[in-house]
Amino acid sequence: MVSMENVPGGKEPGEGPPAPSVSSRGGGYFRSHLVPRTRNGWVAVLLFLGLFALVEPPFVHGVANRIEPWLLGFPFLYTYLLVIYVALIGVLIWALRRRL
Amino acid sequence: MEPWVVATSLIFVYLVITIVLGAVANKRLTVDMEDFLLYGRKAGFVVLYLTVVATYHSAFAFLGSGGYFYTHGIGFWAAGTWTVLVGGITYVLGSRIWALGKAFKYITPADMLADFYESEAVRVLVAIISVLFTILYIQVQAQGLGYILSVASGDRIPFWLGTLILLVVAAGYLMAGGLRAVYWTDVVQGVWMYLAVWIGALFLAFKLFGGPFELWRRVVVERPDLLTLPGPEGFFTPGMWIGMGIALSFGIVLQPHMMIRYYSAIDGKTIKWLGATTPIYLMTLYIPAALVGLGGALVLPDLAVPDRIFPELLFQFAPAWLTGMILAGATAAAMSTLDSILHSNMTVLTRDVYQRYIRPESSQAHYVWVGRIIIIGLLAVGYVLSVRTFAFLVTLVTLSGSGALQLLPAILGVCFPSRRLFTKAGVLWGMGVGLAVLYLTLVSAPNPLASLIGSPHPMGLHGAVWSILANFAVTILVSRFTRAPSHETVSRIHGEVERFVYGEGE
Repeated sequence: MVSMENVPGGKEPGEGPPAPSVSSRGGGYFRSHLVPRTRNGWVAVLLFLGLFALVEPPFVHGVANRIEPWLLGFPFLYTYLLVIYVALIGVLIWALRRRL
Repeated sequence: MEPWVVATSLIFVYLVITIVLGAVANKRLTVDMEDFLLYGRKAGFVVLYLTVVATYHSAFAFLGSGGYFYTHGIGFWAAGTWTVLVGGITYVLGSRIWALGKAFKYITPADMLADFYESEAVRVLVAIISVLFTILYIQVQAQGLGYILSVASGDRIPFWLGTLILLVVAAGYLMAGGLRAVYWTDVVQGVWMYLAVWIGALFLAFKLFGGPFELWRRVVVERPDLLTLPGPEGFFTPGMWIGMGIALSFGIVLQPHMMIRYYSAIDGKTIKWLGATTPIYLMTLYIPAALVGLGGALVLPDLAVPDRIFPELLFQFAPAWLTGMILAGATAAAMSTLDSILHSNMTVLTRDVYQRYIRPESSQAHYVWVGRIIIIGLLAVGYVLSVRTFAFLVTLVTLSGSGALQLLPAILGVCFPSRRLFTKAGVLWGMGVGLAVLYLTLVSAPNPLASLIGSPHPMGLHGAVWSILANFAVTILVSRFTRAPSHETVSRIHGEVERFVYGEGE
């Protein structure tokens, strides 16, 4: 999992430039970027991954793999995928607007 | 006027436009490697947006996607997963690559990786992967171009001549204006191909079925097997769905012609805008492709070559001017990818090979001219590969889509500070093992283990997934027992990432 956070929202007011925080044999020197550091960061990552799971097996080959019922004039699977793709793009735009 | 004259003339009108743009770009060019190779790192949102989407979508998106829907049905709508993923990768990873490129003047992917891992071996291996697994796309796109011109002219322009004309035009404007010419022509190409696919598909849907909704209803009645997974031929299994998603998102984004686009942005915010909005273009291009493929399966059910469904429908049912305009769009789709690959291979060979190992201290003008000479060499190689058939090419084409994917662990190690660092030995072994596994799991012959493990795609899982899992496992394992990059280097590069993401920003 990767963090979607970015400047300037991820920095607390008054914080100075980050200093190396960890130093050990073979270890990194900065806090890990593999997990989010803010609430909005967690929301963006979990929403994106959660929605993405819905367009992957087993969901897409299981419950979503049907023609009926028709949605918006199209077969179910087609519309199901389209709606989630749009929602995923919505998460990216939300992250952009929150300056993550 | 005969239809073939109209169709061919419109393609040549389009070619003239690209040549003019190349000439204008040449007037703006300064004698500077960053200007020639990276647009002076000044690409704004609109130009970068259209060049990224036009480069991502090749002749395959225009012709091949219709063929996939035609043969395998709705399963190809999986394309939405990898195009949305491309947006996410650009947002998260692309912005970090931009920040490091700006801070440390990186031009190629190998620049960044060799700097962090403090290794010339890493530079050489990354340069080899960058060129080897993308040069074949020159062949694929050039063949697509030759085919389009041949079809448009009713075989009056032979395949070999069509390929040559279009390769020379692409190489010509690239030599004249560098990446600026590529970007400007991509703007035209990106708009043209998008309009062409939508207009062509809607025209056919209304003419043949009375509209898109009626088309879908007819598919349900006549070919319901096209509307569920894994499709009529059982292609889109869960393993293929996941594997194609990984290979066609990470595998494409990590190719040098896409990574170089991140370096060329004017600021990090532009990259994030790209990440959030490019999936809109990339994904919605497959909506009309579905109409073409599924509608074509009803109207022309016994086509020998499914990839030809779009031009076949146009020639049979559309007016000549529309057919010409749409085939010019197909030409745009292929040329926008071809020129970008020519450019990236030229950049890698000029920067990572010539400047690094042959003439390190020459002038900027010298390197620009060497780049132009390399383009001529690539043009010759691309042409020979396009018109001749070599047995080894079949194997390499099979591997090429997932080759650049092997850079993923190494790039994550640079762009994502973490408690455990990847090491030079770790990423070298990881890439080596990943490539070996890719070969064993994708190629069925010659492959001594093919029958034993069930290649291609053992256990129904795409070879790309097997290879990247092996790559990560080996990279992590070897990195545990080998020497990490120096404190100074990690602090400098990860410190820049930390500043960009959580600190002062741009």
